[in-house]
Amino acid sequence: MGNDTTAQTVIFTQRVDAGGVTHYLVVRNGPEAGRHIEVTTEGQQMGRSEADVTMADRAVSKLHCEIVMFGDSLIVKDLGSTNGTFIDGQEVTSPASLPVGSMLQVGETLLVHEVRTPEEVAQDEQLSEDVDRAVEYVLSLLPEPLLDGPVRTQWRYIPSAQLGGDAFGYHKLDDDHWVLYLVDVCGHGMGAALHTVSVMNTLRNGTLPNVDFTVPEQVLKALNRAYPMEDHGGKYCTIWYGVYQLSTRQLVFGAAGHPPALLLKADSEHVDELDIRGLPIGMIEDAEYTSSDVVIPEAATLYVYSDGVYEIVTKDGRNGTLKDLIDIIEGPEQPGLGEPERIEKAVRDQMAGTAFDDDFSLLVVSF
Amino acid sequence: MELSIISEDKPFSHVKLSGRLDTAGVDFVETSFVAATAEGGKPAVVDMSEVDFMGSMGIRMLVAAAKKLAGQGEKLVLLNPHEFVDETMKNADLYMLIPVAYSEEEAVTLLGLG
Repeated sequence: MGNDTTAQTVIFTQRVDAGGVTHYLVVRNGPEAGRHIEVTTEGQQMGRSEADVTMADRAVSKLHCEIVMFGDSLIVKDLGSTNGTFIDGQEVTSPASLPVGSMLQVGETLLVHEVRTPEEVAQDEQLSEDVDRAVEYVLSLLPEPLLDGPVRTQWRYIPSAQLGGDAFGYHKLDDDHWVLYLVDVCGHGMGAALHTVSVMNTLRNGTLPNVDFTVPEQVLKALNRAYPMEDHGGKYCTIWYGVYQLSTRQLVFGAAGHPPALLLKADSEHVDELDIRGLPIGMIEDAEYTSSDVVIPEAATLYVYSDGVYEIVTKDGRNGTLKDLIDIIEGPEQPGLGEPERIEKAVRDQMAGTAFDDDFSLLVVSF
Repeated sequence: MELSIISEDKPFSHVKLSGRLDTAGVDFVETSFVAATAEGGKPAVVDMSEVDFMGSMGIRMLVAAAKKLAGQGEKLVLLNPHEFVDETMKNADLYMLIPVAYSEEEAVTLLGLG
């Protein structure tokens, strides 16, 4: 490694390696998610090329940052990278400590500092492969965008590093009705994904007995009965569920603990919040749900989303809100970008760091 | 994420949460929180004034405690939720399950102790 100093040499001798454990930087997102980078006593430079540890991330500079050991911590120094180096969201402007459990961001790659035994590393890599397969499976459940017809859809789904519990869908119920829905299961990881898949398959296959799927409150009430959190590993989910009737242009909708869908009419600069309240699915037995309706004018656009789209930490350190998302949606179109991509870009522009903490799910429907 | 026990001498458990009530925060405080509220044998007031974010697992923790207390005939009341937490609670219609108060006196009244 370059730029060694006497002080750094002293730091290296203070490495703690008790009980055969080793310090790792564990990649939490992107194509290398699950990769364990062992931190050596000599320290390492990280970069896209020309470094001891190379990262498959175009946002990483050729020579990006340097990691050295100091007791139980690692010390991180940015090497003049283009996109900066961050520890728990704070930019590294001078050598800074990376304690065990902290999150290091290099380019778009998130890495957690962990202390592990070799056996634990092997287990983690297996789990990471399982999560990757779960992501593939959830993606396989998402429908293709509808490019033509009276109901047209575009969407953006970006699973978080740990895989959240988002999914969405739409399909024809009959010649006159389309159903649209978005599900968000609490928590992250395989448990959340399994629950999502189960709820999604119930909606896709219409397997709720004695339920009219054109009536949102019936669907939500039946789902609530079918998925009590006590019987499903403590998991609950939020859902937005809407049914669009082609002949009347009427959208009937209900929600269970989900933020409101947003409707932007062609002749308006401001969205209408399709606000309807109901408890999340599975939270209490015998919860009651209601529905509301709206007539969709020509050329209107409906936005259905998960809270991960706006619950970000912004560059100025505050928590993003629904109002931020509304401001983005009401902003000008961007030539060459589809609507989901425009919104994603605007959210990313506001966001500290580049990786989403929760799934980003956005369904844009044009009528 | 921090959990503080405000008082053990009142006819209700009085605790305060501070920080981000996200998955990591819940992992950190959940056992202590459940012990201090749902297993306290009396109604609970949870000061939320210093919780600036609450994710789905935070909701789950609060609801689980509230349901456990409800099973004992007791209530859990949130005190002074931050604007962001308030929006989350309203979006999920959770004030049906967990009432909110904006002063300790109001909380005591909601608990039926006033």
